[in-house]
Amino acid sequence: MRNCIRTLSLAILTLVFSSCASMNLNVGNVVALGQGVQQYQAASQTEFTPEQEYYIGRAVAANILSTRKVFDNKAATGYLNVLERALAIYSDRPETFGGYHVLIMDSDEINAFSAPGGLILVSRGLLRCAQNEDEVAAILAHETSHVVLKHGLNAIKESRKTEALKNLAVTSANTLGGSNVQQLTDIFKDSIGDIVNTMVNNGYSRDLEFQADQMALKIMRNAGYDPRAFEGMLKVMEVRLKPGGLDFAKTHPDPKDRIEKVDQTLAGWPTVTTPAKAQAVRQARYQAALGSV
Amino acid sequence: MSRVSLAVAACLMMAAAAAFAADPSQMSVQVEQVKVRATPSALGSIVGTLAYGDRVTVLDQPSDAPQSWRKVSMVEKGISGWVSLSALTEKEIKLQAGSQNAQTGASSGEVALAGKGFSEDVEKQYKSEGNVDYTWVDRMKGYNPTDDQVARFLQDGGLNTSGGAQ
Repeated sequence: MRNCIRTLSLAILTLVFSSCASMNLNVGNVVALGQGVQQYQAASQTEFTPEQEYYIGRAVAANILSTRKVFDNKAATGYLNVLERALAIYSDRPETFGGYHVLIMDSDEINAFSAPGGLILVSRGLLRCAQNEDEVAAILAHETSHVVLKHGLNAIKESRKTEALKNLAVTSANTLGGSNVQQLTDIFKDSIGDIVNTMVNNGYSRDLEFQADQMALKIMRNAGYDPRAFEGMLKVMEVRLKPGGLDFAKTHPDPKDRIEKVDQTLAGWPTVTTPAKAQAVRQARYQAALGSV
Repeated sequence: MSRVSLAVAACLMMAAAAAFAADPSQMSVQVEQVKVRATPSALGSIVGTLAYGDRVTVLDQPSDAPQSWRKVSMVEKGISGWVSLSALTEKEIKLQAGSQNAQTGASSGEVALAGKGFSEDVEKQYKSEGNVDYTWVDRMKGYNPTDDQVARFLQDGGLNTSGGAQ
């Protein structure tokens, strides 16, 4: 009987370990399982959840908006938010924890920021680089792509991310007391600093910007916009960006380089012909909402 | 009760936990709330709303259904329909008792506890320590176009009205 039980135990353990192997767990996790679900999950967190991304994104946007004025125009902002939703549903990530939302910064600089989770801030100066709705769609599709690709979250220094996730996991397993909140807040603050510093001062790498451009073309095509409008918007930007500026002149690749890569992709895509009536509708609502931006 | 019996019981519990966690037919809602649609389209008619942490059963779906949508049901809410895959996770999200705005503390595990982590508590503490103004961040959320607005926008502009159902 005892042998029988031992054999059974061995079989079950084998089953458990093979199951865990398929879940990328280790022996430590299995032991933790026996100690409670909290410990089990504490040992396994490797990335931020959509909800954590949401709180990070709120803080990033709040930081940026703390030093910038908002262009409080309901018609223009409402229009951009409908357009944003119309693009987001054709992206690879139509749903984020708190959804996509757009706000206009009251500034002549050519700039935009995509906070994690979908809070998109775009300047009046950048919107003026667009001459029609399709070109505004190009701007928003590019910013949406930064959110979809989680470029903001990836700007957190790797060592800090590891520390943050470790702490998040541990505090998930225990009661979140005052000291835990303080410790988490310190890490949170540093993480926000990493993202804001990258967005405002250093910019993402050229590769990430090109990635966002390529994804934006796909979003535009999926939604029914003419992806060639992306090039039109970049050409205006090329003329208007001032060397030495603290905006896209500093944080983004030269529009010429972006146009070159966009052209390479579009060369293989069929031409989009927009019916005159649809074109007229788009132009009329673009003018009504952003004509005076 | 011998030690061997205890070991067997512990192993059985672990096996059951592992089997449950790996159940591919169950998913959880990982966004604040998501509309359930009658068709696999972001503009499909709404049959209900699911909230963060809701556990759903993934139903069989036609082979030609879009890969980015899942047909699900939640018996407790009497809802059955289509949800964007981006709103779902295979992890189970356990809500903390008394937590109104639930938070999860884990990501890649099969079970995630809610109510912990970067959360309202941390945001509150963060706000109290600096000169960060959330006024406009909160106002941004008010810009939330309805399905009708988006559908009409796409329709009038001669754009794609499939709602991502291609």
